[in-house]
Amino acid sequence: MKAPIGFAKWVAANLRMFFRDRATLVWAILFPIIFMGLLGLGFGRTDPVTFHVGITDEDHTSWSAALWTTFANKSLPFQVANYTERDGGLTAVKGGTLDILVVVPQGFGAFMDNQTSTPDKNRTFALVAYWGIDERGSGQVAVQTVRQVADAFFRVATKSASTLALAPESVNAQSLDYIDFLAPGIVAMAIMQSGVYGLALFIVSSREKRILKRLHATPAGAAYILAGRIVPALLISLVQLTLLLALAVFAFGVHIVGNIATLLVAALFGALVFISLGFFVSSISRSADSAENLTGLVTFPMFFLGGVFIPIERLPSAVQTLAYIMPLTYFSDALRKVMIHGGGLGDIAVDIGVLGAFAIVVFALAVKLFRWE
Amino acid sequence: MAEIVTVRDLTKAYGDVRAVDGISFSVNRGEVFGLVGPNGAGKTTTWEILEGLRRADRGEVNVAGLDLRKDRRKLRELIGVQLQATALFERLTARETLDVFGSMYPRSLPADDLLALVNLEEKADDWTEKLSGGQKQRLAVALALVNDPEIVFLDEPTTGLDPQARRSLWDVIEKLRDTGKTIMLTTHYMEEAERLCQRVGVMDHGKILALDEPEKLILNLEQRDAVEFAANGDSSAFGTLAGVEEMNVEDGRVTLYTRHLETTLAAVFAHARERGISIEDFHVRNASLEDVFLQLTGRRIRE
Repeated sequence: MKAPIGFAKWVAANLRMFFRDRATLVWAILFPIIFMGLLGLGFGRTDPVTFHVGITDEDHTSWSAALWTTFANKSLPFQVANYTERDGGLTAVKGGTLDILVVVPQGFGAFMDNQTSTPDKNRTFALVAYWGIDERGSGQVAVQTVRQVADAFFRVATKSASTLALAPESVNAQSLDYIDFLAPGIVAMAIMQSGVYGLALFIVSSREKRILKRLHATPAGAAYILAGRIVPALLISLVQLTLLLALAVFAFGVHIVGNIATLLVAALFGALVFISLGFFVSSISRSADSAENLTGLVTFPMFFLGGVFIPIERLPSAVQTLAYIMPLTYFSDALRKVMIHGGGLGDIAVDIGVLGAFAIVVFALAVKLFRWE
Repeated sequence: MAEIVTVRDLTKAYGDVRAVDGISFSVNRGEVFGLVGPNGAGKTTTWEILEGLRRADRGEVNVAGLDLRKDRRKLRELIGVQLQATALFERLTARETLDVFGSMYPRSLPADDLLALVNLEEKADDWTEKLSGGQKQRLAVALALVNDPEIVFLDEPTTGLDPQARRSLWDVIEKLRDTGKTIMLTTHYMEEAERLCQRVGVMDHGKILALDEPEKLILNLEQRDAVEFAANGDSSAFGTLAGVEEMNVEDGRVTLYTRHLETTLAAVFAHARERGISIEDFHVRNASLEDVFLQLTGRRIRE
């Protein structure tokens, strides 16, 4: 049986057809590169205008809640996020998501009660502030700003001229700019586009031109024919991943923190989801035109809401719900966790679990609805 | 001679339309068997059922002793298929196309041999989108031979080709016939069926109206001559003239069949002069398969 050699030939033929088709080359490779290049130049390394401040409340009193509210005041240059565990906040500082983590230790409420009834200058209490040292130095500025806000809070509350102590601790952190956020997003977007378009248009146009029917008349079954298209699609995803990461690293200084093997696992799951989605679109499209419209309809909302350009957390909550049913959201999140936060397989388990489940359901539906002609 | 294909009472309907309506025939090993008829006659549906691409609603089908329901894979290894309307990957070369299709079979012929057979050696490295209509069809026929099949199904291989491209494809099919392969051919060109097929089924509206060797089908017309002309005026009385056995009128074009040519010719011109009917585009010819179809259906095969 020469099946393995035969299959390799079929895969090679599909790869050839891909590289001979300028339109798909532009879409799959050139467009994402240009995109990343333009956005990288436009939004590359910038000075921070707002600080990302994390707060861990270990005190849980009305005083600590009041401090929280003060930090969350919209007139301050703070983006405030709540971290229930000190460790989680620390990881965020190290990863560059936070400029500073303010910990309100237990006893803060009691101390404040004390100071408001009988002010005693000799008693002190310190908030802990972890700040990230990176080449930008934004953590250092953040410490100063946080200190001023905390002092103001104390003075207003106690009507005294003394200050609240702040115990700053520096943490080694990476600088995180928009390009760092963007790079994994663009990789995810490119893999989505080529997976959905590549498979959907190939199958539908082959069906329209009756090539599928001609293939059906050979002993090769549907699985053989499809696999011969899916394997090249995966290889192309790998090419996209490599080229885009190279651009991000060498042109824009993006630092890949995580493990490359973990990144490949995430990319594989992402590619499989979008290949399945493309296959599904082909199964429900009557013509090449309708397939093109339908791929647009499927990919466009994800393009904007799938966490490529804007972090999901910043979307309005109704839109967030929508984003969380989109596979691209989980894919860009997984790539980002590995690339910029150094996440391991355990950290992206939920993401790849959702992607895997999505792929299986969509693929099964696509197989059920598949038509040769 | 051993029968390699047997069809009995084959029926297939699409909604209310009976595409194939209870047809029966058999094909001998090594024979060139043809179905002729207009578009929509049911030829393609019949072929696709035999190729295992469609299921029949009713009837018995036997191809090389295989059960089409169970032995689909085996069937596909045994047959070669050229589908109506060419289906080729545009961005593969002719040679790559043959190679990749060949790789799907357990046994296949070298691409270069096949390209030589269909006279496409010079186009071996051209993308198929650059080939002319005739070259594409020849490649599609080569593709039907890639697994060295026992039975070759050709579905309207020459439709849409110019006369020269058609003739060069006939040469290919004749070469194939000489290698002893069983060839199943559909066409709506009568001269093609007359030239290539050993036996022909005349098909219309899902039924086979007549089935025999082309010569015998014509002989059954009892050696009649056909007189054809366009009549400008009332043509209804031509059928009653001396010697006329049958008349067909379509779009003002009259065909008269006669065994007494001289008598009929004289009567036609006398009648025309008498009634003031002008006659144009007049010719006399021997009856052909075209006339067999006209006689059987009252219509011409191509409109």
